[in-house]
Amino acid sequence: MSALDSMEEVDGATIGDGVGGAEEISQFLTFELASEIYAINILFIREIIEYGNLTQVPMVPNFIAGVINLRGSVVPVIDLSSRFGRSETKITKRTSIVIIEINSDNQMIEIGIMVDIVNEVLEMSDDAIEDAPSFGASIRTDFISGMGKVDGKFLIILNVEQVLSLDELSVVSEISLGGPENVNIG
Amino acid sequence: MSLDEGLQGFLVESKDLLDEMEDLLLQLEEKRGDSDIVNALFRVVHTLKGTSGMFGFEDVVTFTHGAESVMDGVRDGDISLDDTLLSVLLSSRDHISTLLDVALGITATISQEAMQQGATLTSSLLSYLKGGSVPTDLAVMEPDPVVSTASNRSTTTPISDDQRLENECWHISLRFGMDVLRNGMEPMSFIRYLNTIGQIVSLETIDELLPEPAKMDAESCYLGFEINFSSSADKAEITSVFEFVQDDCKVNILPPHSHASIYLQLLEDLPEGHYRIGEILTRTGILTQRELKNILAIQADRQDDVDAEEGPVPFVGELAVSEGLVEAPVLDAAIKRQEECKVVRVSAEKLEELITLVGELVIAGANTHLLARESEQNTLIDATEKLGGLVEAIRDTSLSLRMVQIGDTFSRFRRVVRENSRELGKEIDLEISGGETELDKVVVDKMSDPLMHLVRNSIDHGLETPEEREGVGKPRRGKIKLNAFHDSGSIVIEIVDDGRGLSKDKIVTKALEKGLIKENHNLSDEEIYRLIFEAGFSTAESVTNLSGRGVGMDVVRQNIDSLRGLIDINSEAGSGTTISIRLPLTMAIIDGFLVQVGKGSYVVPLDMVDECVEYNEVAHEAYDGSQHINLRGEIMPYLHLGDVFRGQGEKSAGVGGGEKARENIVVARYGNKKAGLVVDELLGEHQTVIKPLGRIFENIQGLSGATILGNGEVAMIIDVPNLVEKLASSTM
Amino acid sequence: MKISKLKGSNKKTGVCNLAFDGDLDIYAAEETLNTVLPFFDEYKIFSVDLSKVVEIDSSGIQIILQFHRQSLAAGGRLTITSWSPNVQELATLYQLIDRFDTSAVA
Repeated sequence: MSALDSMEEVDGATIGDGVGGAEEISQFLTFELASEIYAINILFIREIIEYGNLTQVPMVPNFIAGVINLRGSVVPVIDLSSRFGRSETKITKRTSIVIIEINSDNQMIEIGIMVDIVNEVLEMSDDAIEDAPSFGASIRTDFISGMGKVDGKFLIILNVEQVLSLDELSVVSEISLGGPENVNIG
Repeated sequence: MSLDEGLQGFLVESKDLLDEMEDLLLQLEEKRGDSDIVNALFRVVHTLKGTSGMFGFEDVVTFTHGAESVMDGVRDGDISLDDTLLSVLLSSRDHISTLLDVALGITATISQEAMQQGATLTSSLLSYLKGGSVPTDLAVMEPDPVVSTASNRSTTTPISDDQRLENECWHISLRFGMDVLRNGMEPMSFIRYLNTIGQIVSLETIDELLPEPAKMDAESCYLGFEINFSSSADKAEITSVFEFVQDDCKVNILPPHSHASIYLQLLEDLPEGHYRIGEILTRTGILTQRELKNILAIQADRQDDVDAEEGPVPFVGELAVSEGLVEAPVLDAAIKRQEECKVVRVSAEKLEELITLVGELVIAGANTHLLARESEQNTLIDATEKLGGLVEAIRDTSLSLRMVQIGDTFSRFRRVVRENSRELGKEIDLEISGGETELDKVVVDKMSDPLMHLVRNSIDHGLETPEEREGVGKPRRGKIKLNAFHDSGSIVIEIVDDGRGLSKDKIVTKALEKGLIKENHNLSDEEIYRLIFEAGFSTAESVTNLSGRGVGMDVVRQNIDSLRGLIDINSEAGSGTTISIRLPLTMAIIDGFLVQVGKGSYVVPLDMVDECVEYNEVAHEAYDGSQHINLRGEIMPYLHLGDVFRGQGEKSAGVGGGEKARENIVVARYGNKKAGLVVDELLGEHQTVIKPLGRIFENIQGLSGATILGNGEVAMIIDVPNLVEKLASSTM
Repeated sequence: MKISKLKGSNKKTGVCNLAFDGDLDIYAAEETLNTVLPFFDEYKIFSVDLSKVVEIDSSGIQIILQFHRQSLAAGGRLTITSWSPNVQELATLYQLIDRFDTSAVA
């Protein structure tokens, strides 16, 4: 898979040119979602797997795409597009699931996110990252931790903890019955 | 914090002892004069002190000594056990716990407050000792009258052998058994410990039993000790120092001023020969030369008698018991300890690991079986089936390892009831039944907080004050009952009180006030009762000490929900409230029944499945405004899982409800209720390893977890009671 | 446990100078006993340096007591030339200090 290949390339490269001195360099995984480019700090990323074998969970909001069996654990998968308040992700051959690891109450929790295409891993120094715009962004501003600029193009660096905030994702069952003729319970 | 194995064992044991102590104290409250309980309590305190001493926790030993002395006084009838003393002892138990935590490094330092508390307790314990008619330390020391056979014979000896010796110290004679070291015991620990309960005036190490070097086994113990010991401790206490080696060590403890005959017996009993030991005893100042001479004379004289009459010399054991050297309770404790050794303690972590692995084994087994069937090789299929049977047996056995009785959890509430009722000026009896009912330790642990809240709630709000009760013609003392029993694959825990019952009006008023319900609600009684578990609801009219603790009843419900449990409330104004909690027996692996709904597979716990019938074969009737099925005259609600699930989750399911294949109804039973679940296909039984759904799905109702099928796919486990209840309430 | 025979040891005089280094406890007891066993036949005047003994327990003390017994039986002597703190503590507890000739320390 292309993303994993590019991760290896980065591993081989020397980090920090030494010219700038103290500046911090971080690595980001970039991916596309509805033709927009997003980035996530690779510290959050466990692995990337192909989309498939997703089990849908009934009675939950649309942004939960389902669950997968990840080496014996049941891991929820979030439809990022729905989470951003847009339409559901259309499944293509290149659809991938990025497994993210976040800390919740001192427990590491794995959550998958569905993305259209995984691009590459790239490095950005801290001073190349600008603050999130206070308005005009295409997604909730608290989802954005910063804006990076690569080759003259802006990409949105996601605030993973906010996007995958368990408090917000934590769902209450949405049980709805088709219509009155189906109400069989007294 | 890293504890070595010995300390780890001590940690576990001391916790058990503290629990036992509390339990006994609370039992004593009801059966004030029960000498068995008093004795048991004394032993527990005693062992606590002894083991703490073995590890050199002197603060614990010093403090516990006070409590022990008081218990000793109670045992002897010198101190009467009143309410205040019980409270002091209960608090002392807590303080010992605090001290142990500090000693074991669980808490870093002792707080100023705790120190203060310790000092207060010590002084109140002391006041009991001073008040007692006989100073306990002296009570046991007076030796019993002389053994009759000895005194009869004494007439012929130059000096009467019941003459008491001058030595004011205890004499302790020890001969360690060969296996002591191999058994992990170390003589020096015992001798060191002696120093904490008194002073070793002199000690002689006996190495006479060391064999020739070539015959010596380096891991055997050949040591013995003669110790002259000054202490205000009593016989039981000194004996208890050696409780752990009693089987492996010859211990003789001679009280101060013992009769010469006892020393004689000691000399006769020891393997090294009289003269050598006599020499040691005089050298260490235990005997004067004159006394030794006398004793040896008696000895010689007696030997003559024995030769003449061929009568048996009193056996040392008999003599020891008749002289009160060995006390029956101490022996009992030693026997009990041996019995406990048949139980192996395993850390919860290791068990957890085992059960996780068994879960993986079950899944891998299912996968193998699936592949075998696909291969259509009969021998392979047979082999995997045999394997499957074994896996199932292993599963059941490992799960049973984690089953514990709920009784211990129940017993803890004695204290809660005692203290909280006192605080509120109420008189309450706690009745416990079904304590032997077993369930998964994980479930028990998670239930202890919710139960605590419910019990407190009963004490606080449910039960009336004695005056109120008398006013309405009830007995002064209120009653809380904790009960547990198994019922169709679940365990049911009941909290029953005979208090004032829930007031529907008050609940409704409150719920309206809080905006939880609307004015024109149409709630059933049970639904109204259930409002007390809603977030932000509290019926407490005055904030008491109890309800002020910050956590509400909604947390109780959350906890029970997370265990996939169900709460039922029954209440009758004026006569009391019953809250029953239905919980799954285990959180690990269950027998499941696999069904297909749309494209997905789902598991219904097999214990709940009553039967399966074809959808078209049962009569459907409208009943109470909605559709029910009539199953051989039994009317029950049913629901189309396809419709329920398609609502949101089952996207593009494709089965647009058009032509339906032969649908089936799974009749599920929970408690005394039944409901039908209409599914597309029945797939058969499935060993279901429950995988948690994680925090995101924590609040989801209707699904209780997930499992992994043989082909690696995930299937949801249907929480039948919750799904049915949820749907029932959503139609209101 | 490392036991070194020091200078001055001589079969003819029966003098044996030993230094113990390591643990003198139940885990090392068998090995230690096997090592010192031949010495009892060959020597009778023992000087033992215990300053490098780290752990000691009753099994270790038994071996020292055996040195004492054997030397006395052969008409010799046991002198402990130096104690480590742990050995000293245990020997004090067992009140053995006086039994062993410790003149070299005093």
